Amino acid sequence: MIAQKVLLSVEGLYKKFTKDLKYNMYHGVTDLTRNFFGINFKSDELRTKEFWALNDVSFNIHEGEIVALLGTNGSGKTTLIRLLAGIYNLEKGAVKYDDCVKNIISVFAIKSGFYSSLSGLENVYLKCAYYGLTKEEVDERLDFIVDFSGVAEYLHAPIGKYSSGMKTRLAMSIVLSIKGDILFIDEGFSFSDPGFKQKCFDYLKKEYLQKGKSLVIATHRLDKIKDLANRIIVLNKGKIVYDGLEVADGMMKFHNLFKQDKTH
Amino acid sequence: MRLFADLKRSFLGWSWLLILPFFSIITWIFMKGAGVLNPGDVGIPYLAFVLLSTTLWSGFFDTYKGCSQIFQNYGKIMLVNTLPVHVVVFSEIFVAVVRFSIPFSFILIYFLVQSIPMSMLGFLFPLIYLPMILFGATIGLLSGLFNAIAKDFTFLMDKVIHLLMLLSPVVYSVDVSTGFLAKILRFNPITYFISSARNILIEGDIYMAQNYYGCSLLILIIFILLTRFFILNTSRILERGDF
Repeated sequence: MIAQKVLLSVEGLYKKFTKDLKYNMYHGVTDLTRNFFGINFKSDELRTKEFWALNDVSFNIHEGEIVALLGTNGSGKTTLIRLLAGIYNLEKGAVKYDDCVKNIISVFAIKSGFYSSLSGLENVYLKCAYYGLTKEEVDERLDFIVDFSGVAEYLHAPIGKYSSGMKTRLAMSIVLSIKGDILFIDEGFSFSDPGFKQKCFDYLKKEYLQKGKSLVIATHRLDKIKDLANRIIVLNKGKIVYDGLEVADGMMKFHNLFKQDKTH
Repeated sequence: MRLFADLKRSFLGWSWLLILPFFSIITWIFMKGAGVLNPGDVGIPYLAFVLLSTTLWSGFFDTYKGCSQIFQNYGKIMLVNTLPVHVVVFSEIFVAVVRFSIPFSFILIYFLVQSIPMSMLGFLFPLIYLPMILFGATIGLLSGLFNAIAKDFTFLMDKVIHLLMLLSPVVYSVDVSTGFLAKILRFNPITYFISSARNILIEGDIYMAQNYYGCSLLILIIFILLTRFFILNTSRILERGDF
């Protein structure tokens, strides 16, 4: 049963980028200089060598929804999540969170942000600080993080000595310990430990689906999250081409796009 | 934590914080012994003058460098976490101040050992020196924004800063400069910052107080505005930078 309260409303979202490095630099310096001198400029028109990475994207996210944001590489998934998380600047459109949404957590490249020379424990404090937690808040969560990740034995060893799987488990446990009202995960489940993946899914269902929070997972591998999602949004070249609760329909649409993408 | 991480991947760890400034002092003592330096009349032994001045300069330079490389150091993390940018800016300034305070402590010990007189008003030094740190941060933040987009600014600014050192009374007294250099020094805020920081420590006064206070106020205002500008434009840089 999906509740209807809208936690996030996205209306007519646009974002442009430049693939050409020289023009990227040129437009960047121009924008900064104009901003510096307080000169207004139109940001909703394409300039030389620019393209729309997101083109009129609109949707709502309701409480209790676990959304799979699907798309091939370059479809605009990461750009969309970064816009929603406030990392990228909004070009045109509106992103509105409900007043009840106090804590928005976004996760990109889950293993990034670790210092290999620092121990696992030191990295827990550092990474939690990146998510805005105080030392006291980390202390409260430490037992959960250590238990859930299962790295207790290596907690004082430099993280550079951890295996890739151990780093992922630690990073994911940190994220899960924070308990945001909306959690965005970009390609977070591309790890190959089925036991830990199931443990994460069970936890996410308990914390997000059952407690009326929302989770948005961007991926190009539906097989990684099909057991978790209850809604699918498919992006192609910056536009939404499917948005629905029928996982099978969404998968079909995505597979067709994926095939087309491969043949090109 | 970042300072800790930098130092952790070395055999000597924290000892480097003591070794590097000590090595710097030894270098200057060696140069003095070799007769490379021309003492001149700077009020105190030239070696002490140069040690103090270059340490003051390095505090300014480290702040500039730290702030100008924020996107190089934190860009990747900023792309995956919504970091509070003001915290990053102030942590860079803090790291620079910590780096400065250790060699500066050595200088004070050297002054005491050599019986070089210091003023009772020397306790005001941190306050008087602060505008120079803020000036370094201001230049660093401005160049950091552009550096992240195009490397040309990095190359250019590093050269400009090196030139600025030669055009500031770091290894010479402001009184010995004449002609064109004297004119440049008059319009260079570092002249007032570094001379005042030295003077408060040694003589207990501020060099051309009116100019010093004017420059300090101006730098403080520019620093606040630029920090705001930096924070507001961080997302634009993250979109365009190569991190």
